[in-house]
Amino acid sequence: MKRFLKTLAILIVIYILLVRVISLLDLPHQQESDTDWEIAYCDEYSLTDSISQNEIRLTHHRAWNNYSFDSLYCLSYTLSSSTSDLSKVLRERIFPQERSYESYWRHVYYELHSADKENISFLQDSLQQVATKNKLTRNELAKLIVSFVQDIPYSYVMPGPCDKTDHPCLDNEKFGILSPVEFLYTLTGDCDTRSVLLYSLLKHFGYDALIMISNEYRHAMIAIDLPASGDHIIYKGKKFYFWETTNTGWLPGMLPPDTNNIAYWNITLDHEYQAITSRHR
Amino acid sequence: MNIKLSLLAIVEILSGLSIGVVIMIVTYKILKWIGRKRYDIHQNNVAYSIFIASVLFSVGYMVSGVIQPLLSLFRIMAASESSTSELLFSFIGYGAFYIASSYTAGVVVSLVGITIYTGLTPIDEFAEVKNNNLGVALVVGTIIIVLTLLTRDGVNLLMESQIPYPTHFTQ
Repeated sequence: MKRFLKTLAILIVIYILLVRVISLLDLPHQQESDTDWEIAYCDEYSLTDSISQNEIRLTHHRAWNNYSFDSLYCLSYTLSSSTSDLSKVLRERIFPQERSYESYWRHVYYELHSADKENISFLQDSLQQVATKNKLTRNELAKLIVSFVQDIPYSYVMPGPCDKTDHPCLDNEKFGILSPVEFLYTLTGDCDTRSVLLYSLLKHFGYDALIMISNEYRHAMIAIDLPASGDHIIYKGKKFYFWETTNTGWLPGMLPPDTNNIAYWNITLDHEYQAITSRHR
Repeated sequence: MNIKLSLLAIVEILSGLSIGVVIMIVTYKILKWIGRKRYDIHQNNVAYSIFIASVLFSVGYMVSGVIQPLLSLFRIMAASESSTSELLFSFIGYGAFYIASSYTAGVVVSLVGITIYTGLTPIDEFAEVKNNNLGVALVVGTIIIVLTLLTRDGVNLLMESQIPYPTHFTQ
Protein backbone atom coordinates (compact mmCIF):
# COMPACT_ATOMS: atom_id res chain seq x y z
CA MET A 1 0.00 0.00 0.00
CA LYS A 2 2.85 2.35 0.93
CA ARG A 3 4.60 1.61 -2.35
CA PHE A 4 1.38 2.19 -4.28
CA LEU A 5 0.92 5.59 -2.62
CA LYS A 6 4.51 6.49 -3.42
CA THR A 7 3.98 5.59 -7.11
CA LEU A 8 0.76 7.56 -7.16
CA ALA A 9 2.54 10.58 -5.69
CA ILE A 10 5.26 10.38 -8.37
CA LEU A 11 2.62 10.23 -11.10
CA ILE A 12 0.78 13.22 -9.64
CA VAL A 13 4.05 15.18 -9.61
CA ILE A 14 4.67 14.24 -13.27
CA TYR A 15 1.18 15.39 -14.21
CA ILE A 16 1.56 18.66 -12.35
CA LEU A 17 4.84 19.22 -14.23
CA LEU A 18 3.08 18.38 -17.49
CA VAL A 19 0.30 20.85 -16.80
CA ARG A 20 2.83 23.54 -15.90
CA VAL A 21 4.84 22.94 -19.08
CA ILE A 22 1.74 22.98 -21.27
CA SER A 23 0.59 26.21 -19.69
CA LEU A 24 4.01 27.71 -20.52
CA LEU A 25 3.45 27.03 -24.19
CA ASP A 26 2.42 30.09 -26.10
CA LEU A 27 -1.15 29.00 -26.72
CA PRO A 28 -3.64 31.29 -28.42
CA HIS A 29 -5.43 33.60 -25.98
CA GLN A 30 -8.90 34.96 -26.37
CA GLN A 31 -8.26 38.63 -25.89
CA GLU A 32 -8.79 41.94 -27.56
CA SER A 33 -5.88 42.66 -29.85
CA ASP A 34 -4.82 44.23 -33.09
CA THR A 35 -6.22 41.11 -34.72
CA ASP A 36 -9.79 42.31 -34.15
CA TRP A 37 -8.98 45.52 -35.95
CA GLU A 38 -7.26 43.60 -38.71
CA ILE A 39 -10.20 41.21 -39.14
CA ALA A 40 -12.40 44.19 -40.01
CA TYR A 41 -10.01 45.41 -42.69
CA CYS A 42 -8.38 42.19 -43.79
CA ASP A 43 -10.63 40.51 -46.29
CA GLU A 44 -10.38 38.20 -49.28
CA TYR A 45 -11.44 39.54 -52.62
CA SER A 46 -10.10 40.01 -56.13
CA LEU A 47 -10.28 43.11 -58.31
CA THR A 48 -10.14 43.00 -62.09
CA ASP A 49 -8.74 45.89 -64.05
CA SER A 50 -8.66 46.04 -67.86
CA ILE A 51 -5.40 47.40 -69.18
CA SER A 52 -6.15 46.86 -72.83
CA GLN A 53 -8.49 44.82 -74.95
CA ASN A 54 -6.41 41.68 -74.55
CA GLU A 55 -4.91 42.22 -71.18
CA ILE A 56 -6.39 42.39 -67.73
CA ARG A 57 -4.78 42.91 -64.36
CA LEU A 58 -5.93 41.02 -61.30
CA THR A 59 -5.35 42.17 -57.75
CA HIS A 60 -5.84 39.44 -55.18
CA HIS A 61 -6.32 40.35 -51.55
CA ARG A 62 -5.62 37.34 -49.37
CA ALA A 63 -6.31 36.88 -45.66
CA TRP A 64 -5.39 33.76 -43.77
CA ASN A 65 -4.76 32.29 -40.33
CA ASN A 66 -1.33 30.97 -39.49
CA TYR A 67 -2.36 27.78 -37.63
CA SER A 68 -4.01 29.72 -34.87
CA PHE A 69 -7.41 31.39 -34.74
CA ASP A 70 -5.87 34.58 -33.31
CA SER A 71 -3.18 35.12 -35.94
CA LEU A 72 -4.64 36.68 -39.04
CA TYR A 73 -2.37 37.87 -41.81
CA CYS A 74 -3.18 39.58 -45.05
CA LEU A 75 -1.42 40.68 -48.18
CA SER A 76 -2.30 41.67 -51.71
CA TYR A 77 -0.59 41.34 -55.05
CA THR A 78 -1.27 42.23 -58.66
CA LEU A 79 -0.60 40.09 -61.70
CA SER A 80 -1.35 40.72 -65.34
CA SER A 81 -2.84 38.17 -67.70
CA SER A 82 0.15 38.58 -70.05
CA THR A 83 2.54 37.38 -67.30
CA SER A 84 0.34 34.39 -66.64
CA ASP A 85 -0.03 33.64 -70.35
CA LEU A 86 3.72 33.81 -70.87
CA SER A 87 4.21 31.39 -68.01
CA LYS A 88 1.68 29.05 -69.59
CA VAL A 89 3.54 29.17 -72.91
CA LEU A 90 6.77 28.25 -71.14
CA ARG A 91 5.03 25.39 -69.35
CA GLU A 92 3.71 24.03 -72.62
CA ARG A 93 7.22 24.07 -74.07
CA ILE A 94 8.52 21.61 -71.51
CA PHE A 95 9.20 18.22 -73.06
CA PRO A 96 10.55 15.78 -70.51
CA GLN A 97 12.18 12.75 -72.09
CA GLU A 98 12.98 10.89 -68.91
CA ARG A 99 11.37 7.51 -68.55
CA SER A 100 11.17 7.00 -64.83
CA TYR A 101 8.26 8.51 -62.93
CA GLU A 102 10.41 10.59 -60.56
CA SER A 103 12.82 11.82 -63.24
CA TYR A 104 9.96 12.82 -65.51
CA TRP A 105 8.31 14.94 -62.83
CA ARG A 106 11.66 16.26 -61.58
CA HIS A 107 12.22 17.72 -65.01
CA VAL A 108 8.74 19.27 -65.14
CA TYR A 109 8.88 20.70 -61.62
CA TYR A 110 12.38 22.06 -61.99
CA GLU A 111 11.55 23.77 -65.29
CA LEU A 112 8.43 25.35 -63.76
CA HIS A 113 10.42 26.54 -60.77
CA SER A 114 13.26 27.91 -62.90
CA ALA A 115 10.93 29.73 -65.27
CA ASP A 116 8.94 31.50 -62.56
CA LYS A 117 11.29 31.99 -59.63
CA GLU A 118 12.04 35.58 -60.62
CA ASN A 119 8.42 36.32 -61.51
CA ILE A 120 7.10 35.64 -58.04
CA SER A 121 9.39 38.12 -56.29
CA PHE A 122 6.35 40.32 -55.53
CA LEU A 123 4.98 37.55 -53.32
CA GLN A 124 8.35 36.89 -51.71
CA ASP A 125 8.60 40.59 -50.83
CA SER A 126 5.05 40.70 -49.46
CA LEU A 127 5.61 37.64 -47.30
CA GLN A 128 8.90 39.10 -46.06
CA GLN A 129 7.09 42.31 -45.12
CA VAL A 130 4.44 40.38 -43.17
CA ALA A 131 7.17 38.41 -41.41
CA THR A 132 9.16 41.53 -40.53
CA LYS A 133 6.08 43.40 -39.32
CA ASN A 134 5.07 40.50 -37.07
CA LYS A 135 8.64 39.69 -35.99
CA LEU A 136 8.29 36.08 -37.03
CA THR A 137 10.96 33.51 -36.26
CA ARG A 138 12.37 31.19 -38.93
CA ASN A 139 9.89 28.46 -38.01
CA GLU A 140 6.99 30.89 -38.00
CA LEU A 141 8.00 32.30 -41.39
CA ALA A 142 7.89 28.78 -42.88
CA LYS A 143 4.42 28.31 -41.38
CA LEU A 144 3.34 31.70 -42.73
CA ILE A 145 4.42 30.73 -46.25
CA VAL A 146 2.86 27.28 -46.21
CA SER A 147 -0.37 28.43 -44.55
CA PHE A 148 -0.70 31.14 -47.23
CA VAL A 149 -0.73 28.45 -49.92
CA GLN A 150 -2.87 26.03 -47.88
CA ASP A 151 -5.52 28.73 -47.53
CA ILE A 152 -6.07 28.92 -51.31
CA PRO A 153 -9.04 26.62 -52.00
CA TYR A 154 -8.21 23.33 -53.68
CA SER A 155 -9.01 22.81 -57.36
CA TYR A 156 -8.33 19.95 -59.72
CA VAL A 157 -5.99 20.59 -62.64
CA MET A 158 -6.43 17.83 -65.18
CA PRO A 159 -4.35 16.93 -68.24
CA GLY A 160 -7.57 15.81 -69.96
CA PRO A 161 -11.27 16.46 -69.47
CA CYS A 162 -12.61 16.96 -65.96
CA ASP A 163 -14.50 14.04 -64.48
CA LYS A 164 -14.74 15.23 -60.89
CA THR A 165 -17.26 17.62 -59.44
CA ASP A 166 -16.42 17.93 -55.74
CA HIS A 167 -14.02 20.82 -56.38
CA PRO A 168 -13.57 23.34 -59.18
CA CYS A 169 -11.70 21.75 -62.05
CA LEU A 170 -9.44 23.08 -64.79
CA ASP A 171 -9.29 20.76 -67.77
CA ASN A 172 -6.83 20.06 -70.58
CA GLU A 173 -3.78 21.62 -68.92
CA LYS A 174 -0.50 20.09 -70.03
CA PHE A 175 0.93 17.79 -67.32
CA GLY A 176 -2.14 18.47 -65.15
CA ILE A 177 -0.28 21.24 -63.36
CA LEU A 178 -0.08 25.03 -63.37
CA SER A 179 3.09 27.07 -63.04
CA PRO A 180 3.59 29.18 -59.88
CA VAL A 181 2.61 32.38 -61.71
CA GLU A 182 -0.48 30.79 -63.25
CA PHE A 183 -1.47 29.45 -59.84
CA LEU A 184 -1.12 32.86 -58.21
CA TYR A 185 -3.02 34.49 -61.05
CA THR A 186 -5.94 32.03 -61.17
CA LEU A 187 -5.84 30.86 -57.52
CA THR A 188 -6.50 27.43 -58.94
CA GLY A 189 -4.18 24.64 -57.96
CA ASP A 190 -3.93 20.99 -57.08
CA CYS A 191 -1.34 19.22 -54.93
CA ASP A 192 1.70 19.44 -57.20
CA THR A 193 0.89 22.97 -58.38
CA ARG A 194 1.01 24.04 -54.73
CA SER A 195 4.14 22.04 -54.05
CA VAL A 196 6.08 23.71 -56.88
CA LEU A 197 5.10 27.20 -55.71
CA LEU A 198 6.04 26.32 -52.14
CA TYR A 199 9.33 24.81 -53.25
CA SER A 200 10.19 28.09 -55.02
CA LEU A 201 9.12 30.26 -52.10
CA LEU A 202 10.84 28.16 -49.45
CA LYS A 203 14.02 27.90 -51.50
CA HIS A 204 14.07 31.66 -51.88
CA PHE A 205 13.86 32.11 -48.11
CA GLY A 206 16.73 29.67 -47.56
CA TYR A 207 14.84 26.59 -46.41
CA ASP A 208 15.80 23.11 -47.49
CA ALA A 209 12.65 21.77 -49.07
CA LEU A 210 11.82 18.71 -51.14
CA ILE A 211 8.93 17.94 -53.44
CA MET A 212 7.59 14.50 -52.56
CA ILE A 213 5.33 12.56 -54.90
CA SER A 214 3.52 9.28 -54.62
CA ASN A 215 2.32 7.39 -57.64
CA GLU A 216 0.38 5.01 -55.37
CA TYR A 217 -1.50 7.78 -53.59
CA ARG A 218 -1.69 10.05 -56.68
CA HIS A 219 -0.54 12.88 -54.46
CA ALA A 220 2.26 15.39 -53.94
CA MET A 221 3.41 17.48 -51.02
CA ILE A 222 6.53 19.11 -49.68
CA ALA A 223 8.96 18.00 -47.02
CA ILE A 224 11.08 20.48 -45.12
CA ASP A 225 14.10 20.46 -42.87
CA LEU A 226 12.74 22.24 -39.80
CA PRO A 227 12.86 21.42 -36.10
CA ALA A 228 9.59 19.51 -35.72
CA SER A 229 8.29 16.08 -34.79
CA GLY A 230 6.26 13.45 -36.58
CA ASP A 231 6.36 11.85 -40.03
CA HIS A 232 9.65 12.46 -41.80
CA ILE A 233 12.28 11.03 -44.08
CA ILE A 234 16.01 11.22 -43.57
CA TYR A 235 17.79 12.53 -46.65
CA LYS A 236 21.47 13.44 -46.86
CA GLY A 237 21.69 13.23 -43.07
CA LYS A 238 18.84 15.67 -42.46
CA LYS A 239 15.30 15.09 -41.29
CA PHE A 240 12.68 16.37 -43.70
CA TYR A 241 9.16 16.57 -42.31
CA PHE A 242 6.19 15.99 -44.59
CA TRP A 243 3.85 18.95 -45.01
CA GLU A 244 0.43 18.58 -46.61
CA THR A 245 -0.51 21.59 -48.73
CA THR A 246 -4.04 21.03 -49.98
CA ASN A 247 -5.95 22.33 -46.97
CA THR A 248 -5.50 24.50 -43.91
CA GLY A 249 -4.51 23.12 -40.52
CA TRP A 250 -1.81 20.68 -41.60
CA LEU A 251 1.45 21.12 -39.74
CA PRO A 252 4.92 19.77 -40.57
CA GLY A 253 5.28 16.12 -39.60
CA MET A 254 1.61 15.24 -40.10
CA LEU A 255 0.96 12.80 -42.90
CA PRO A 256 -2.75 12.19 -43.52
CA PRO A 257 -3.59 8.69 -42.19
CA ASP A 258 -4.69 7.46 -45.63
CA THR A 259 -1.37 8.41 -47.23
CA ASN A 260 0.98 7.62 -44.36
CA ASN A 261 3.03 4.75 -45.77
CA ILE A 262 6.39 6.47 -46.19
CA ALA A 263 7.60 3.71 -48.52
CA TYR A 264 5.16 5.03 -51.13
CA TRP A 265 6.64 8.52 -51.09
CA ASN A 266 9.57 9.47 -53.30
CA ILE A 267 11.74 12.56 -53.48
CA THR A 268 11.20 14.19 -56.83
CA LEU A 269 13.01 17.47 -56.50
CA ASP A 270 15.50 18.25 -53.78
CA HIS A 271 16.76 21.61 -52.60
CA GLU A 272 20.19 21.12 -54.15
CA TYR A 273 19.05 19.97 -57.58
CA GLN A 274 20.53 21.87 -60.51
CA ALA A 275 19.73 20.95 -64.09
CA ILE A 276 22.87 20.79 -66.22
CA THR A 277 21.20 22.41 -69.19
CA SER A 278 17.79 23.75 -69.86
CA ARG A 279 17.40 22.35 -73.34
CA HIS A 280 13.97 23.54 -74.29
CA ARG A 281 14.20 27.17 -73.44
CA MET B 1 17.04 28.03 -28.72
CA ASN B 2 13.50 27.26 -29.85
CA ILE B 3 11.60 27.50 -26.56
CA LYS B 4 8.25 26.33 -27.95
CA LEU B 5 9.84 23.25 -29.47
CA SER B 6 11.77 22.52 -26.26
CA LEU B 7 8.54 22.72 -24.27
CA LEU B 8 6.83 20.39 -26.73
CA ALA B 9 9.73 17.97 -26.32
CA ILE B 10 9.32 18.14 -22.53
CA VAL B 11 5.58 17.46 -22.93
CA GLU B 12 6.50 14.43 -25.05
CA ILE B 13 9.02 13.16 -22.48
CA LEU B 14 6.69 13.68 -19.52
CA SER B 15 3.73 12.13 -21.37
CA GLY B 16 5.81 9.12 -22.41
CA LEU B 17 7.26 8.70 -18.95
CA SER B 18 3.95 8.91 -17.10
CA ILE B 19 2.10 6.73 -19.61
CA GLY B 20 4.91 4.18 -19.60
CA VAL B 21 5.14 3.97 -15.81
CA VAL B 22 1.35 3.56 -15.39
CA ILE B 23 1.05 0.96 -18.12
CA MET B 24 3.98 -1.13 -16.97
CA ILE B 25 2.92 -1.11 -13.32
CA VAL B 26 -0.74 -1.91 -14.08
CA THR B 27 0.14 -4.72 -16.50
CA TYR B 28 2.74 -6.22 -14.17
CA LYS B 29 0.37 -6.14 -11.18
CA ILE B 30 -2.49 -7.70 -13.14
CA LEU B 31 -0.31 -10.51 -14.53
CA LYS B 32 1.21 -11.19 -11.11
CA TRP B 33 -2.26 -11.29 -9.59
CA ILE B 34 -3.61 -13.64 -12.29
CA GLY B 35 -0.58 -15.91 -11.94
CA ARG B 36 -0.94 -16.09 -8.19
CA LYS B 37 -4.72 -16.43 -7.93
CA ARG B 38 -5.54 -18.54 -10.98
CA TYR B 39 -2.46 -20.61 -11.64
CA ASP B 40 -0.88 -20.58 -8.21
CA ILE B 41 2.42 -19.28 -9.58
CA HIS B 42 4.64 -17.70 -6.96
CA GLN B 43 8.18 -16.30 -6.79
CA ASN B 44 11.20 -17.68 -8.65
CA ASN B 45 9.30 -18.88 -11.71
CA VAL B 46 11.57 -17.84 -14.59
CA ALA B 47 9.19 -19.18 -17.25
CA TYR B 48 6.33 -17.02 -15.99
CA SER B 49 8.69 -14.01 -15.79
CA ILE B 50 9.56 -14.54 -19.48
CA PHE B 51 5.85 -14.62 -20.28
CA ILE B 52 5.25 -11.40 -18.29
CA ALA B 53 8.20 -9.73 -20.02
CA SER B 54 6.81 -10.52 -23.46
CA VAL B 55 3.36 -9.19 -22.54
CA LEU B 56 4.95 -6.02 -21.10
CA PHE B 57 6.90 -5.51 -24.32
CA SER B 58 3.79 -6.17 -26.40
CA VAL B 59 1.64 -3.68 -24.53
CA GLY B 60 4.40 -1.06 -24.27
CA TYR B 61 5.26 -1.30 -27.97
CA MET B 62 1.59 -1.05 -28.95
CA VAL B 63 1.01 2.00 -26.77
CA SER B 64 4.24 3.71 -27.90
CA GLY B 65 2.68 4.08 -31.36
CA VAL B 66 0.01 6.35 -29.89
CA ILE B 67 2.42 9.01 -28.60
CA GLN B 68 3.04 10.64 -31.99
CA PRO B 69 -0.64 10.81 -33.04
CA LEU B 70 -1.39 12.22 -29.59
CA LEU B 71 1.16 14.98 -30.08
CA SER B 72 -0.36 15.74 -33.49
CA LEU B 73 -3.73 15.95 -31.79
CA PHE B 74 -2.27 18.32 -29.21
CA ARG B 75 -0.86 20.56 -31.95
CA ILE B 76 -4.19 20.60 -33.79
CA MET B 77 -6.11 21.36 -30.62
CA ALA B 78 -3.64 24.07 -29.60
CA ALA B 79 -4.60 26.00 -32.74
CA SER B 80 -8.31 25.88 -31.95
CA GLU B 81 -10.35 28.50 -30.18
CA SER B 82 -10.25 27.09 -26.67
CA SER B 83 -8.81 28.11 -23.33
CA THR B 84 -5.74 26.45 -21.81
CA SER B 85 -7.83 24.56 -19.25
CA GLU B 86 -10.23 23.29 -21.93
CA LEU B 87 -7.27 22.27 -24.04
CA LEU B 88 -5.68 20.34 -21.17
CA PHE B 89 -8.97 18.69 -20.26
CA SER B 90 -9.61 17.63 -23.88
CA PHE B 91 -6.02 16.48 -24.35
CA ILE B 92 -6.02 14.33 -21.23
CA GLY B 93 -9.49 12.96 -22.16
CA TYR B 94 -8.49 12.09 -25.72
CA GLY B 95 -5.14 10.78 -24.48
CA ALA B 96 -6.78 8.47 -21.96
CA PHE B 97 -9.12 7.15 -24.65
CA TYR B 98 -6.37 6.48 -27.20
CA ILE B 99 -4.02 4.93 -24.67
CA ALA B 100 -6.77 2.74 -23.23
CA SER B 101 -7.70 1.63 -26.76
CA SER B 102 -4.16 0.73 -27.78
CA TYR B 103 -3.55 -0.89 -24.38
CA THR B 104 -6.63 -3.04 -24.92
CA ALA B 105 -5.37 -3.90 -28.40
CA GLY B 106 -2.02 -4.97 -26.93
CA VAL B 107 -3.70 -7.17 -24.32
CA VAL B 108 -6.07 -8.68 -26.93
CA VAL B 109 -3.14 -9.50 -29.23
CA SER B 110 -1.36 -11.22 -26.34
CA LEU B 111 -4.46 -13.22 -25.46
CA VAL B 112 -5.08 -14.19 -29.09
CA GLY B 113 -1.45 -15.29 -29.37
CA ILE B 114 -1.70 -17.52 -26.35
CA THR B 115 -5.10 -18.91 -27.37
CA ILE B 116 -3.88 -19.78 -30.88
CA TYR B 117 -0.76 -21.48 -29.60
CA THR B 118 -2.67 -23.38 -26.93
CA GLY B 119 -5.26 -24.51 -29.49
CA LEU B 120 -2.62 -25.74 -31.94
CA THR B 121 -0.55 -27.77 -29.51
CA PRO B 122 -1.55 -30.81 -27.46
CA ILE B 123 0.14 -29.57 -24.30
CA ASP B 124 -1.23 -27.22 -21.67
CA GLU B 125 1.06 -24.21 -21.96
CA PHE B 126 0.15 -22.67 -18.65
CA ALA B 127 0.75 -25.92 -16.83
CA GLU B 128 4.20 -26.00 -18.49
CA VAL B 129 4.89 -22.39 -17.57
CA LYS B 130 3.77 -23.12 -14.05
CA ASN B 131 6.28 -25.99 -14.02
CA ASN B 132 8.97 -23.49 -15.06
CA ASN B 133 9.34 -24.89 -18.60
CA LEU B 134 11.56 -22.24 -20.19
CA GLY B 135 11.21 -23.59 -23.74
CA VAL B 136 7.42 -23.20 -23.77
CA ALA B 137 7.64 -19.77 -22.14
CA LEU B 138 10.10 -18.57 -24.81
CA VAL B 139 7.90 -19.82 -27.66
CA VAL B 140 4.72 -18.28 -26.22
CA GLY B 141 6.56 -15.01 -25.57
CA THR B 142 7.93 -14.95 -29.11
CA ILE B 143 4.45 -15.54 -30.56
CA ILE B 144 3.08 -12.62 -28.56
CA ILE B 145 5.91 -10.32 -29.70
CA VAL B 146 5.64 -11.30 -33.37
CA LEU B 147 1.87 -10.79 -33.37
CA THR B 148 2.39 -7.37 -31.80
CA LEU B 149 4.93 -6.40 -34.46
CA LEU B 150 2.54 -7.52 -37.19
CA THR B 151 -0.56 -5.79 -35.86
CA ARG B 152 0.90 -2.56 -34.49
CA ASP B 153 0.66 -0.56 -37.75
CA GLY B 154 -2.99 -1.54 -38.15
CA VAL B 155 -3.81 -0.57 -34.58
CA ASN B 156 -1.98 2.74 -34.99
CA LEU B 157 -3.86 3.48 -38.20
CA LEU B 158 -7.11 2.73 -36.36
CA MET B 159 -6.09 5.18 -33.63
CA GLU B 160 -5.02 7.82 -36.17
CA SER B 161 -8.35 7.50 -37.97
CA GLN B 162 -10.02 8.74 -34.76
CA ILE B 163 -7.90 11.90 -34.63
CA PRO B 164 -9.71 14.95 -36.05
CA TYR B 165 -7.13 15.78 -38.72
CA PRO B 166 -8.10 18.44 -41.25
CA THR B 167 -9.35 17.08 -44.57
CA HIS B 168 -6.97 16.84 -47.50
CA PHE B 169 -7.49 16.39 -51.20
CA THR B 170 -5.88 14.14 -53.79
CA GLN B 171 -6.50 13.43 -57.43
